[in-house]
Amino acid sequence: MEAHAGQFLMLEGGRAAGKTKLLEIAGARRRPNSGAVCIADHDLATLQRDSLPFVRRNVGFVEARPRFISQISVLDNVMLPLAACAEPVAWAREAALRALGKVGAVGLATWAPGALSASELRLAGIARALAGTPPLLLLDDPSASLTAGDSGAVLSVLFGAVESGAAVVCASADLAFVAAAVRGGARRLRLEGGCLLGGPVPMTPSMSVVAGGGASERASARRQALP
Amino acid sequence: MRGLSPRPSIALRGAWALRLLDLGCRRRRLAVTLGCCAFAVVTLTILAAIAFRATWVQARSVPTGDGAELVAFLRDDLPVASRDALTAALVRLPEVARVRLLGGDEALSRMRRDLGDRASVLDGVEEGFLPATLEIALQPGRQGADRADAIAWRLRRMEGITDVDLLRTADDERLVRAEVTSRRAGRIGIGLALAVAALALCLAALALRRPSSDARLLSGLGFTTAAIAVPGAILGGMCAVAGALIGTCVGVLALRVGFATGWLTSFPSGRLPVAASSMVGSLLLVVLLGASLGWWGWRPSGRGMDELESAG
Repeated sequence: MEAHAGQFLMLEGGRAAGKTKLLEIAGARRRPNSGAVCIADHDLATLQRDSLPFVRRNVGFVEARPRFISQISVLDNVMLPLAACAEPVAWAREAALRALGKVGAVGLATWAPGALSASELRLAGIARALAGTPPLLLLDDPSASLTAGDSGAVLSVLFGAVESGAAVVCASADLAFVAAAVRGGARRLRLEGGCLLGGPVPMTPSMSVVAGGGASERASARRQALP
Repeated sequence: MRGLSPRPSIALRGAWALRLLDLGCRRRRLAVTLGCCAFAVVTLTILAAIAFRATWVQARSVPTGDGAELVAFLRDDLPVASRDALTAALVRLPEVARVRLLGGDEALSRMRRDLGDRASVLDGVEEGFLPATLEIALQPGRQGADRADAIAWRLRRMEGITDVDLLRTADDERLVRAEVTSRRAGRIGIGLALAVAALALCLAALALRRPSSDARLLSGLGFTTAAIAVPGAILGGMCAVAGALIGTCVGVLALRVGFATGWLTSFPSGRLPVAASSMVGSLLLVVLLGASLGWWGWRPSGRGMDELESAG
């Protein structure tokens, strides 16, 4: 499987198809049993363990059940990816609020994660993945627990990221969400029993994620977006 | 694409940012940790005061009029040669400074002098009324109020000695009782203090441990091992030092109060009775406490990341 910059891949599959594991492998959160995973032409197997966190900073990952640190607010949780990159606190706060605004969850900024509903947690998780404008977005079932309106808003945000040059790989069992994404231009891939179907190349034995944009270009583009 | 090679400066700055978040969300836990460390140090300081009191009491020498601290009564039929040999044997004891033989006649004369106007009660007393005695003075230096007891016990088992009398005043008896009490209190205090220190260490470690789920979350977001674990270690060390300083201040205050109320006998020079070795030991204890807390804060973070990366 390959995901290029500016490309939207929609993984469709039923229960236990392997969607979550595939995304975790692509996001350097799980080691594959065999094969190779390359991000920007870097084979993850050749990287030292201490380098993996730096790979993950380039990946915006939304879990099926987003987890948060309960002792800090939603806004601070959304700022965490930016704190990992040691971004200035003021700039990180602005970026986090902007990300929450994109998914329509600005009002949740001062709330504690424990007080949020399932749909609100999912929106906050998506905002956290978007806050750092990563070149690769991996989303596991982003439309679960969301209303039709919220699902539409999330889809438009994802297409906006694609237009900005990010590669988006989204896994979902929601047929309506998949259909809407495909209508918007996403490439559809079906996953069954850990195997990709319907794509030009079967999933095993390799996966490659290509994302473009130098660090300095993206950093200047980020800062120019500030009011 | 952000750089994939680790840069220490960014890693440390990320750790600094996370530390700020830590301080914001863990205030209550930090307060508990600080309190536990301070309580442990206060307890240990009070223990040190108890132990010092026992040491100070032990250092007091037993005062006597002419320096003799024990009187050994000799058997009436003890030959002169045996008496001389016994005297020579006592002089060779390391605790004994000098031994003076006092014959029965000389002892009777001294008693007449001591009785003064009432010496007439001894008129008509036959010769040999009082036995010969050995007046024993102990070596000066680090004295022990109950050291004479130990020597008396040994003397009573020597051939030729019928009884041993300790020349003690009421103050000396009080010192002996105080020393014994202080030693017992010190031993109990040591056990209690170690238990409190262990409890405080466990509570502080629990307060500072980052749950492994949080460690996995942060690792997934791109935080390095150092960024996740170092704040816990730094905070643990800071809490240990701060707690030790607070505990030391309270402990010194307790010592002052002890001197003012007389529970701790006044130190002659007027200075705080803190030995250099005690201060070095306290400093090492603080360092050990801080290192232990930091290790406890580090380990679960590392374990969480191992679980994340080894899942398959």
